Amino acid sequence: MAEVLLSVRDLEVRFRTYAGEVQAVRGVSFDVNKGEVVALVGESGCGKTVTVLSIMRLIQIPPGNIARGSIIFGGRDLLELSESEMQHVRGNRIAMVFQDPMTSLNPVFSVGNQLCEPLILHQHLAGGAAMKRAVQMLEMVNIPNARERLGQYPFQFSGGMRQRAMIAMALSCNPELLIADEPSTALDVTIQAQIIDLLTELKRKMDTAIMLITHDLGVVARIAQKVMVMYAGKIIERGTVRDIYRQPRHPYTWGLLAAVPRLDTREKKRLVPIYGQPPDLIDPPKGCAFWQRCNYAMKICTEMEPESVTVSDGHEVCCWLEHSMAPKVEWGRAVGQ
Amino acid sequence: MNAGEGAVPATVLEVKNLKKHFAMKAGLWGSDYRTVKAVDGISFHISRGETLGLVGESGCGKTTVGRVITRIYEPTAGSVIFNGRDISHLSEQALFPTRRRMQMIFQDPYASLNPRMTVEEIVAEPMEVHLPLSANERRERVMELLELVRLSPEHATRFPHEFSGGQRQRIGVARALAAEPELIVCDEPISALDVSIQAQVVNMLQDLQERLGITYLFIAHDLSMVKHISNRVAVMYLGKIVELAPSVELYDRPLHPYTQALLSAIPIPDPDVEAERRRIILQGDVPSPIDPPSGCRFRTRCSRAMPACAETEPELKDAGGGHTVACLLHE
Repeated sequence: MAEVLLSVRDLEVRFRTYAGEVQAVRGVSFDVNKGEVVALVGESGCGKTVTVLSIMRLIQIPPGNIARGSIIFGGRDLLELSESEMQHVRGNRIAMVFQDPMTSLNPVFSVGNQLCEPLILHQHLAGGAAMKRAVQMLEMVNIPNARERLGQYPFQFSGGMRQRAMIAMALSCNPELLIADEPSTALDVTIQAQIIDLLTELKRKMDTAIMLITHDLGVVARIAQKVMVMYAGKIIERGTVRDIYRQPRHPYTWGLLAAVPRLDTREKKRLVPIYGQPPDLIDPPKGCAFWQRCNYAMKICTEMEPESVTVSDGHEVCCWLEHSMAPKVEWGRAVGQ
Repeated sequence: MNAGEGAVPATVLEVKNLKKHFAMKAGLWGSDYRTVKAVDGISFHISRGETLGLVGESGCGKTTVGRVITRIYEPTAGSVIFNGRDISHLSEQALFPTRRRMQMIFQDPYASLNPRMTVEEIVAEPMEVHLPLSANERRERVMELLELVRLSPEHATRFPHEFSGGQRQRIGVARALAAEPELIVCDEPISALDVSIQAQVVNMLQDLQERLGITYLFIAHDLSMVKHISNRVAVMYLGKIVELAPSVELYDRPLHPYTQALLSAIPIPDPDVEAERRRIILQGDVPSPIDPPSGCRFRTRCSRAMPACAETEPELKDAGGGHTVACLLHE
């Protein structure tokens, strides 16, 4: 059995706004094992970024509020650490790569300066040794002329190179967990392929666990082992990549898979959109949050929230269609495939 | 549209050797000028009722092409022939009647709608400018258009901020349709939207094409979506078209090394297919369009570059079946 690295239980995060309290994350539980790539997918506003920002303790409080839950990492609850204790974890044992490489580097410090910062802070390296290590890190992420590049500023780097520098920085302290929040979304496809391949290769080399947040199901198929599908602040289906792509059970997962055209099919089938909008999380609906957009909604879906059902080992889904009294719906037929 | 009229040419748009260069201030005091060759000699045509996809990475000049065609930018050289008439050097006044025949849909539905105008005002504005309609007729037509893009009449009095991204993009489509265009240039119309919403907008664009016979130039970087919606696809790299082919043909038999790399870079949502796919990972980034490589512009990143590639600039050559490619390997 694989060793559990991170264990999130019953996480609830809320934000106070003028319109009311937004329930961004509504009871999320999951584990990340050592050396594993776990993808968290879902549409914008479903709470995936808030979930990982909570792990990093980067939620601004107030307006944010981690109302409930625990995040166990290395035997301790991260939510109970003091800020100075957390600083030994953040950037050191858990590192993060953000979506937009343009805004996540500081424009007024050289790249070398920023790369050395975690090394000096966490690894207690002296300036010269830190620089040496920074050169190695840049070389590892395939940036040519690493030594000269260290003296340059972020604006002298292209988008793909900035993202690679960010990854170098995140990995410089050999973290046990790397959180990558849409690391390739802002990049062109050829650069995206470079970044995804780089992550895969680095994972193999350094055995870092990766938590990947994305909405691109293609990227997930390429690199992840496990997938969690999030909707309206909850994980509604989870399983191995093969479970989710071959035997998806939740109508929302079917919808996500049918809404994108595939490059490798010849016939042009009409896309199947998911009509409607995700619910307002200030006042989340009673019952299943997806029922208003679901083609198979039954009366019970509007009344009661579905419990998580284990389909097979590791494959869990929250849907009333799994109930023994519910009509049987097959996913292939459901979306006309 | 009007099938009975023999005078309507089958080719809506023809672009010949189109160039658009931008002067950019350079040097410490901004006293020097350098030229960015955003679009550097491209030619293609679009038939009536067809969708031509234009793909490429950021900075390849695809947006500039759309803007030169609609005369938001003045072309530096070359011609844009719309319905048989060269419009590239017409005066603003002479161009005016043609303007309504080509409309645009923009990428960012948050930035392309005026936040101080109601939906009705937004959709009615092109009609006020271009069509001799009374206020009542305009109102009626706004309602028709809203229905066409699946918004309801009560939406007319609301403001853009009250809508979601997908709905805003539909308002943008309604506005583009208002002046009865023949050609719509869609510049990344779905890339700011969530996947479930993308499918709604793409299906709608296809329905509208079937009903109204509109021609699309569909500019995007998402190759899977472009393949899905287009009849033919042109691939751009650093201001040039490197390959143009019917969409299925392009994906089945890509000839240019850049197209091959681009296609192999797109991940396919299927773990088994992904595990067996051979990928061509391009090294480095796109060079600057200020000083593009000599000869073939792709040679600096091409794994099959030969010495000749640095000297001769390849021309688009016919490779059979409406497939053209600009590469010395295929001459």
